[in-house]
Amino acid sequence: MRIECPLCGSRDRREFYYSGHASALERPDPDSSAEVWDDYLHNRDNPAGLTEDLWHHEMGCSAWLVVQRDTVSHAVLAVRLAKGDQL
Amino acid sequence: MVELYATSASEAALPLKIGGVSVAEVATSLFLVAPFKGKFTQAATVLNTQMGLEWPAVHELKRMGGAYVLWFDHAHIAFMGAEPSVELARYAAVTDVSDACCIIDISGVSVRNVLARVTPLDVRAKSFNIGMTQRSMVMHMQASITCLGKSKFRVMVFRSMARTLVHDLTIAMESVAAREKKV
Repeated sequence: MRIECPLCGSRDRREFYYSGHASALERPDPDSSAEVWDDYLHNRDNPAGLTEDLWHHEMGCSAWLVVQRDTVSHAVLAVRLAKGDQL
Repeated sequence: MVELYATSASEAALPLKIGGVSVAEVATSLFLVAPFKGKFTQAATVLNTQMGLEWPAVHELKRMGGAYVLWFDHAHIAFMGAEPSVELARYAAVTDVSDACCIIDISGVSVRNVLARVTPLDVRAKSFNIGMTQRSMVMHMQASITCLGKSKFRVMVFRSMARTLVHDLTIAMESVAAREKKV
């Protein structure tokens, strides 16, 4: 498996560290209800198909990436820097 | 007052020559520079006006006599053998990491064959040419690898990994030398 880092180009999977679903970037408002925070922290979909993950280019440029991939075909469809997303 | 002496990262393990490839430790200063949030333009202007250099783009190495300014990661550039100007520190975090890294030069006709055994990077000349710098792995170590000449690379790893670096390169150099021996 290879991931196309927007900075470094196509790199081996070994260079990256996986860190769960990209929904971690959609942090709720601090005043949100306990249910909203519970959902943000603990509940994840388990899709057969398109999903977005956070990967860290740990052994490369150190950037956090949002990787769009297909859990059925294992195809990596798109990669972007997480930097541009709202945190 | 006790006199303190700086010791080299690799201690007595370098220089090393196996087959047609040599490894030598580089004694140089090293600074990391990361622009403060929203201050990139000012930092780049200072670099340009005070040192006459463009901010290195991704994978780019800038030479300034014997000194280098190179892309280091998504947030940093590195100064090697040159000290960033005081003015630059107004717009960027400047950190002296000279004693945090082990820096080596590896050279010789088979240098690309040796590197191919220790890093997943494409080290062929058409993909990794002179003046290009990349971040990747050397075995399990985080490394900065820069092509300084047709058969010359500079490799940087954490200082604590210096002996491991020499060990891994020795095995790769011995393997390449063994394959190149005329039977």
